[in-house]
Amino acid sequence: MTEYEFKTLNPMRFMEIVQEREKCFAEASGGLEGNKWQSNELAKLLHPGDRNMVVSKVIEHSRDCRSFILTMEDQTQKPAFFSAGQYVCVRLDINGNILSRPYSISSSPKESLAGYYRISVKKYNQGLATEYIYNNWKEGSIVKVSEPMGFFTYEPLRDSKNIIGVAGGMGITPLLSMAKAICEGTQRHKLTILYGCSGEHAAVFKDELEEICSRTSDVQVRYVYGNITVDDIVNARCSFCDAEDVSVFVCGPGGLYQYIESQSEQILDKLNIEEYKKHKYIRFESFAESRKTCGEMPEYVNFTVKIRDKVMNFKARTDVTILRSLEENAVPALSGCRGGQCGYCRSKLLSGDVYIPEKTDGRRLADSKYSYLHPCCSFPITDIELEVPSIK
Amino acid sequence: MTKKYDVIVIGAGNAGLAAAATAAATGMKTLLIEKNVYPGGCATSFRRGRFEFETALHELANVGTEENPGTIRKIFSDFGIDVNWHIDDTAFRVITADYDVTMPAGVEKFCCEMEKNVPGSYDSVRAVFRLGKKANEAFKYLSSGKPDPNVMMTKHRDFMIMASHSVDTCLNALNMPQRAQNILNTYWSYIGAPSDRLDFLFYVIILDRYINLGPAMPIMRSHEITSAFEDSVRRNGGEIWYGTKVEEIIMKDGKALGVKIGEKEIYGSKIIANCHPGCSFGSLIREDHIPERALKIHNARKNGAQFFTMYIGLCKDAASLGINDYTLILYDSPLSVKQYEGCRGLDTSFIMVNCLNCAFKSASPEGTSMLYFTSVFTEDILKDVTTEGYKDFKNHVAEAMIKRYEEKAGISITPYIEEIVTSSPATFARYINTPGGTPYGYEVSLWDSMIARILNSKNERLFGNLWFVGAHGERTDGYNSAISNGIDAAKSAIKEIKQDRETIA
Ligand SMILES: Cc1cc2nc3c(=O)[nH]c(=O)nc-3n(C[C@H](O)[C@H](O)[C@H](O)COP(=O)(O)OP(=O)(O)OC[C@H]3O[C@@H](n4cnc5c(N)ncnc54)[C@H](O)[C@@H]3O)c2cc1C
Ligand code: FES
Repeated sequence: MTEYEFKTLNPMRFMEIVQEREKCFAEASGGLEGNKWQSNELAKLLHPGDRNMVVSKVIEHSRDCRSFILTMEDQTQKPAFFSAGQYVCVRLDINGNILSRPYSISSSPKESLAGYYRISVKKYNQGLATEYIYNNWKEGSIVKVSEPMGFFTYEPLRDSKNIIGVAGGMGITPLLSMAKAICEGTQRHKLTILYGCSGEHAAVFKDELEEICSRTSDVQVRYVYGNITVDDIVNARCSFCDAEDVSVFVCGPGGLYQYIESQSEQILDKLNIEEYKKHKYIRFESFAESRKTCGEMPEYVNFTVKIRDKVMNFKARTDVTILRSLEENAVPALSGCRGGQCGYCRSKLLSGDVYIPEKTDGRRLADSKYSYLHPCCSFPITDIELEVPSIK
Repeated sequence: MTKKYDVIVIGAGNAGLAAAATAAATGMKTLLIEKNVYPGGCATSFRRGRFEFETALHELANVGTEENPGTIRKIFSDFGIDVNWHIDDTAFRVITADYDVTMPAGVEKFCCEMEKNVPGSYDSVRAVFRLGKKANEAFKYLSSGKPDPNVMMTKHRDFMIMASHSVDTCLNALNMPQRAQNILNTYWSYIGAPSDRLDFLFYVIILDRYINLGPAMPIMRSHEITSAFEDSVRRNGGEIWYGTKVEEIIMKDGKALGVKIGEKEIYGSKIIANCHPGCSFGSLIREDHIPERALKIHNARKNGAQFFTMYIGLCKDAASLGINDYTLILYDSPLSVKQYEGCRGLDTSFIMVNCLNCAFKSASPEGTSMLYFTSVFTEDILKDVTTEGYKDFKNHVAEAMIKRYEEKAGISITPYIEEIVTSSPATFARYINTPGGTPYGYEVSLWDSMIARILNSKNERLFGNLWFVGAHGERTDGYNSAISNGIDAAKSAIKEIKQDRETIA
């Protein structure tokens, strides 16, 4: 009888346990001890959310490129530490329209410890946000800035120690931060940057890059005036002639992204990377906004937007992303990457139809099942009814 | 007053979702408020590159098949919740310094496999499952209403023995060989307490639930479960506000009246809080509104374990890498008591590795696979880490986990890492805001066992109109527990609302 001995155990012991429990409670402190965990402290310091920063310096690189040095409005606080390659979103209130735009941090992580971020902004013709920034951001302006976000970072357990950085225009910004991090010794790998721009006059970070190269042999820069080609990338491989493998980090406008995508077979072949490792070794950050490529459509549709207990109605264009329409109609919608990947803008489609380009569809499986979408890369096809999360 | 709800639920974790779904399904005017922009708390998924990673779930117990449904499947079908399940036929593979065994699901198969590994163990292991069945029956009786102590002592005497003694004491009394005890105790880490300190009752209930009906996982990760719950709340007229943080619970004369969001006050008859008391006292609830006893109970308890998790996307499929197990547990010591001690240090904690592709191949794109690593710590593992050192520290832990896995399992994964994400206790703290980021509430112990908590739940509810639910609640950690805890609280709230209405009428 297996259970014989078991049955001799005292079932009344439970009563003692109950008493012991009361004793434990009685003997415990009745004070509010507060939270002493470093984990919670780190979570707050690394992810402080949106905060006010001061434009403490404006640097004019060229007619259409400026950098802004941002420091904390509240001097007792520090900008959150970040990984080179990450971006912040600047939140702009333009006559009641709440716009958010991502900008890669072009200063180094170490510089954030000294109290500032630098972002570098190119002006677009008829760009709603950049126009505003150029007209309004002066020394002393207070601006709302998100915590650092994004995954376009060097990961030692994943990436090769030899990186070819392919930068198209302003795509230089995250790679510049990485170059600085290498120079300062906080990131340990080699980096050869292909800096693609329209001409020498547009290579506004040239001096800064030359300065870095003079200090460390781990960073090299090659300037490409005009479009970057497969050959440029293959030639850059020579900087690491005895290296076993290389990672390629691509950052820039949509055209560059498409070019690299379309030539990826050749690139892999010439860099000696096996086809199945394509996604491991070629990594992208696209600065371009999602574009619509589907057929005939009415020009305008009706939007009904629920945000908490508020309902808003307006007409919106079908050729821009839903997020853009929300922003232009004063809906305080959340966003991060604006490329379908981060999920910050995730909203529920209550009725209507949308078009979502496959390339930027970064939704989770169950989101598709339950009609959630990312407004930053979805386009309305019919009238739509949408529920969006609120900015805290 | 701006607006009045019957039930306001703070937080859309498993418990909060279950509470809101219960309230809404009963016709209560329900508002669910969540600070993140998605439901689930730590029970969710995230996309990175070509992969969608599960963030938390190893396996759900008590789902069962359509023909032989378990409690969870029944609860979900009552809510009209539709989840696609994979039910696995293997329980786990565990490797320690002493053995490497793979145990099947299904009670009879499990007992036979144990007999093969530890000759002479069959009878005692079978007895454990017999007791497990009794425990679950008595537990149902207990949960059904007001249990009669006499009935408990006479009809459910074995139950009382199990509730009174540790796993070690009971297994020794069943004369189970030590090695069989060690293998049987493999799930101790799911609860976070070692076998000398864990009541046998709770363990047997958990064990029976896992082995009897087999481990279950939703095809679309946890996000499928939580999205389905959310959908049920909506279908029944409940409102959900994402991206919304409750800053204060409005209290008066020991009773909760509503919540504050920014400048806005929202009133509700009953408040169900899925947030951790430890992170609510002094912030959500002002100090002068907290009874001393509530603080004493909180302070007397040990905080639940801290987690380090790692999500890896590989550019090769599982089979060609030699990965064959959905659940692989690597313990240094086969003795839970010793291994628990090891959970203080980085190099001595255990590692659990799940490969969803071994459960169902289509979990990630053709030619790829995903691994999900978990390591658990009982002391503040980040205590000396600065913001600047944080990423290096995470990478250091991640590298050590990979190295140990590669050595002990004899599998090489490093050359194939396409995506890698590490979550530290700080990551958990960020998303779920618990002390030390624990997803396990308060540590379970003999004196603070699930059963002791349930039996005392009425006199340990110290705020009027307010319930705390979640891993820190009566039923302790785990999906099953959190869901049941949320349902219990909502039922209790609904009952009070009905009584209040009758009083007014
Ligand atoms: C992660 C990330 C990091 C970035 N970092 C930097 C950086 O460091 N420096 C920098 O200068 N920029 C950076 N950018 C790009 C920058 O955020 C935007 O290009 C810039 O803010 C344009 O904003 P705007 O409001 O002035 O112009 P917008 O009003 O946004 O319009 C101009 C841009 O939108 C496009 N556009 C306009 N209409 C449409 C339409 N119907 N459909 C599709 N596209 C349309 C235009 O082609 C043009 O690119 C980054 C972008 C991302 C995603
Ligand atoms: S803003 Fe990142 S997914 Fe839409």
